[in-house]
Amino acid sequence: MIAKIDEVIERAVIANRMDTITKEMGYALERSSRSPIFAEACDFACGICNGDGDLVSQINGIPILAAAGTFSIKEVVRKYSGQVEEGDVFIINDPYQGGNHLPDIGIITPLVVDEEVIFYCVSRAHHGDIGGSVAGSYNAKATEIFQEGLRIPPIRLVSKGQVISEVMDLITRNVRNPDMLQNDLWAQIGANKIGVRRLKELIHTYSPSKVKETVGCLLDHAEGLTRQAIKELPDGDYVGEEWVDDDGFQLNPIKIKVTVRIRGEGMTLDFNGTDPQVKGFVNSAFVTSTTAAWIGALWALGSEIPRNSGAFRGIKVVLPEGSLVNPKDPAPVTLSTLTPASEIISAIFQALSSIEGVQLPAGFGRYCGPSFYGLDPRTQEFYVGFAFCALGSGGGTASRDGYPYMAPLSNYGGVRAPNIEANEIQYPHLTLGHEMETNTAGSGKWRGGAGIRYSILFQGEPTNIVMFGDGMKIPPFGAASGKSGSLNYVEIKTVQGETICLASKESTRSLAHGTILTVVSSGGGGWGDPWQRDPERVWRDVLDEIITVDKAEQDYGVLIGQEGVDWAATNDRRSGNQR
Amino acid sequence: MFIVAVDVGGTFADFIVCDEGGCAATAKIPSSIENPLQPIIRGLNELAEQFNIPLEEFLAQTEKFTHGTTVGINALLQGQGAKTALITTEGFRDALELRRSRLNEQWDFSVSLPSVLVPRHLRIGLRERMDYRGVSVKPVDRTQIPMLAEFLRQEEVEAVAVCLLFACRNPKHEVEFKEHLQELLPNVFVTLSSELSSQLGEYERTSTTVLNARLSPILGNYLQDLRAHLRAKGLRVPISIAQNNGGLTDLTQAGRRAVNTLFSGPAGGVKGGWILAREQGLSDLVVGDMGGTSFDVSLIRQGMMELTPQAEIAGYPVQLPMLNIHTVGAGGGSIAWLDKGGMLKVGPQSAGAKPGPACYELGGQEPTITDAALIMGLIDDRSFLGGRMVLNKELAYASIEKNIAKPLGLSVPEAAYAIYQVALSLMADAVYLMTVKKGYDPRSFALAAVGGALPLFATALAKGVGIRQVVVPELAPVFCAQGLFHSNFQFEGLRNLYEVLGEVPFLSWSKAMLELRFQADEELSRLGVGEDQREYRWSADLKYPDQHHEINIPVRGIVSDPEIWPQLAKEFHEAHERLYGYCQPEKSLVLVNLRLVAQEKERLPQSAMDPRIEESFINANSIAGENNTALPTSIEMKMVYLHGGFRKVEVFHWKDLRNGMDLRGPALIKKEYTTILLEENCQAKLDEAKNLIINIGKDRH
Repeated sequence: MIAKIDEVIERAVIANRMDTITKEMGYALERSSRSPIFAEACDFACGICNGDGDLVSQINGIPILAAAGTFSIKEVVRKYSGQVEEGDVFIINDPYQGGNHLPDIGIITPLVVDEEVIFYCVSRAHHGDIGGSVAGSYNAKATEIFQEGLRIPPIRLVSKGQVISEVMDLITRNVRNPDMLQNDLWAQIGANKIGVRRLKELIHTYSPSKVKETVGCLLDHAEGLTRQAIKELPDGDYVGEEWVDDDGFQLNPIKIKVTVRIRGEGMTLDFNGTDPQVKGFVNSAFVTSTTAAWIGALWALGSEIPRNSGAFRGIKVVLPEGSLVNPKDPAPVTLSTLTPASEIISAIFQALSSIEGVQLPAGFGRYCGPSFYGLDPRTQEFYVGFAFCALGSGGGTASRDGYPYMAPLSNYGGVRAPNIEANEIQYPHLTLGHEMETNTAGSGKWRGGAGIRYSILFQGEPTNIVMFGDGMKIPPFGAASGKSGSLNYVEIKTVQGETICLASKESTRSLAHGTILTVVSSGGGGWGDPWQRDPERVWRDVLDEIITVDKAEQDYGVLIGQEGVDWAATNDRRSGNQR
Repeated sequence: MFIVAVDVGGTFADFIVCDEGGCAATAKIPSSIENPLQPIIRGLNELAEQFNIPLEEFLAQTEKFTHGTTVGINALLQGQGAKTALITTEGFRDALELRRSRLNEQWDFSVSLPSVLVPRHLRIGLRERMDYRGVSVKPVDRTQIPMLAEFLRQEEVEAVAVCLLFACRNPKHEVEFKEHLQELLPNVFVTLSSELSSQLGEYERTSTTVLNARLSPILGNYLQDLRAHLRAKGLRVPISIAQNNGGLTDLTQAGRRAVNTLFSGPAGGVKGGWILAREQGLSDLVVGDMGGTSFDVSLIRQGMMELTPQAEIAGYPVQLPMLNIHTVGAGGGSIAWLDKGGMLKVGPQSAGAKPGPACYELGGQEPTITDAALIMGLIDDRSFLGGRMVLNKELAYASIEKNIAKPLGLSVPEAAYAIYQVALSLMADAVYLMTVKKGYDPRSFALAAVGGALPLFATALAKGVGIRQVVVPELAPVFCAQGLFHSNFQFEGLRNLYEVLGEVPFLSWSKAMLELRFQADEELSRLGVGEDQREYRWSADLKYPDQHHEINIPVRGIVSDPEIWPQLAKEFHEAHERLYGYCQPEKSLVLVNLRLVAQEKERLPQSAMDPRIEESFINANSIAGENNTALPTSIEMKMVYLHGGFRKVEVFHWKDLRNGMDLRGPALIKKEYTTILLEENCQAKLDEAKNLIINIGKDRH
């Protein structure tokens, strides 16, 4: 009994300490980084992997980034096996070799004890620019990865504690804001250093073998939980389909198909039947597709399962080569972490929702909005910004309305949208409005969140914008008889007063000072039959200008009088069943 | 002459009175949510009786009156508050609901976010605009205000929160709007974001402002009532109110700043823990406080109270510095219940003081932790609250039998024991969250067990989380009140500078310094703090130019010293390296804010002012005694349900405990307002300050 309580405490302490260390790394990165995409939007992830590259712990950051750390480290392990030394730091971004897309740079720092690598600390973060044909590196017209930016295979950035300046120079020479990129690489290196420092203390307290043993237990524990959860689902093949608008060249929707095969305590996500790879940058390479599939499945399996490599072991992913979800090098892939990563998850949700008792939300808004860049007339410095404040909204669930202003599924709960105040200090533009838009929420017993109308007046001389995103043709789906949400819509109003409607994927446009950009983002899909919605809630939505009186009548069968719900007329309409 | 501290919690109001000779009297009275005043009057009457003088004379002789209150947080947790409207810049009325798309739980879609405190139709956009520099680019459209005021009147709005874009850079538009609106609606409480916070970030600032608007009218009314009552009864001195940061303020300020007092009571507990740690020479202490409603955990680390620059209260961001306290709904009044699957749960609902636990005989039907403790024999039906309240054991029995024991097929004592264990696990999780989850090993901490209920759980809790020593202070049951007693008036101020940190301070630094100092002195004078009783702590928020977050660096030495800037820069680079793993000494720095905390000097006993904080534990063997190792005589043997059955346990009375004794568990130690359960293999000694020091042994079964 004496031994047991200590063992229980130690296991819990070590497990929680790992999570705390990754959190501390995340905090260091957020607090010390320079580009707004890091510091304000938190577009990064941190994790700890064991010496084999298995992910042990990660922060609750951007879902699609975090799990990818294991692939990056496995590439380092493969290439540098036996040559990794204390004082090394590795860098990597190649989507065909352990990365997601080029702007996401992985920084990897090993912890070596007695010539053995016990842990790797990894931080992966989205940098504002990584070169290529357009600033911001979302090049909607790229047809090869070479046009998307600088490609970094796993290489050493630091050796014996010293930055290899030749490597740093080569990288910074190829991007548009070298100083910021260099500072942010420092922030990543620093965050890893914090992680390694804390892990050393942990090993010092509990001995390397104790810590290694515990880490093994943690992975097994997560695998056990995953398999248990799969076992509780009925055996069978469940099919889900989702569509991407287009690839920016040919304008037909592109299909993603998944067959979820459940057999006992094993699950296979088979993407055979998905359309072939395309010309534009909506292809999703192996790492991004696998990660998206894992997190999509785990969402259905339960929130208590730790998101580590142990959990991933229970889920097999089959990605047909040459398809949209596993294209051949050098197909362009930059949009993949948003679209189609979110649509891969969406297809899995639709497949698993057909199982009785599995409750997943209706469709979410997709990302759609420009990057903007130029010289800031206030400082004469180059800047790149993104329309993070144009996020779409969440789908309704079986027990509540969808929340407005949620990141697309691949980034759900990880992106923190910047305050308008922070944005205006950062960029030369004036925000004219940022509010929910009436009649955008997908109707349902539990409706989707309302979409956002976001308008900014550009004050750059000029401002260049590149449209990227999706969801102008395919809306967020409605679930369980709910209706779909609204489509994304983007327009500019020129100084001359002309209104131009923009497509979701465009090449660079140069806009004069005073041009107004407006994004109306998607409302989320509705869950359940709208006629089942409590009329009082419908009335509150009317009062709050989420929907109009007409919408209340058409979609919900609720008639609104002077003082709220006209109960007699509503009962009459709803019982009449005349939809 | 008396000094009085009153801490009103969710279930009990605690009182401490000190006279020239130190602590002279304590009291504990059930609190009342409907009439929060009544227990205060009752308690004060009881204290006066203890001194054999009438209440009027007692209050007339009171020289200082400090008060911690839960009126604000109770209202928030129960979804109450003034009907509030929110005024924003036109086009931006949804920041409160959009929440920067933040989620605390990203892997569970069924989790609900806390409700939006102002419905959309009461969020109104004002035609005005400040730009990022704080320059007005669109003046306030005054023609809009009369219509807006009329709408607010029709809607019977009681409070208005105003948070305009960039008011943190220039509050002019907010101030102008308020002046105009108050002319039209003189009786509505208006709170401006710029009065509360000068920090950038409209979402967090709006949330803070809305909480303040919603809760201040409720707190303000209560405090006015309290003042009127106590004045009528002869109180001559002003009442001081405890704030979230551990400092005190006066009643007027508190009534306008409810958001600053949400953790008023628990803050007293942290302060009390800090004093205990100093007196005992402990560096690391978990302060566990369990009263009737909740279990609050805070830490003293390396001899310091933990402050957090901003926090979340009930899921709402508050952009103000406060003590770091974690709360779970496990108190003596927490209700035990079965979920749909027949799983036993405890809390977070509390029966409070009324109807209270079933055994109170006040109409409570549901079983609580107190009922379970009564059935287990841990507490007595005749000596609860010092014998002021007789508990009805049959009602406790019947309630546990009907709601828990029968459905689960357990005996009633077994069910009571199960309730105790479930409550214990909730408390262990809370301690884990504050220690293990932050990477601190609980085995290096001692546990201060305070509040009326924790001493019943403390040794079991310590065993469960691996803590090796428990301290039960003599004043454990009224510990928060004791902390309040030691609290000081405090002022915090900040000036936004946003300039490059050069070699020597600019004029703006001196100007900001003088302004802050003036503001602080004005406030401290208003609060009656003498000039020789003031302490000033300066600090600066610094960052590299293109960063988004700052590091707070304390100003060591004299703030007007021209050498101060290079020193600040040096410390910044060092802190950056320590916190973030790198630094760039070749880069220039931006000075974002100058901060000042001005407070009344600590009035602690000399021993506590000279902390010996290198120790983790008190060496119980070194406790000096009267060489009287004889055990006190037990007052009775009692049947107590422990580990699977009733067994005979010796019961002692606190007043019979002697220095030098070595008391081993299992045993119960009865004390006015609390009972300490000393589990098997635990060993208790009394130190000179009359704190019970319990060393936790390991179980061998």
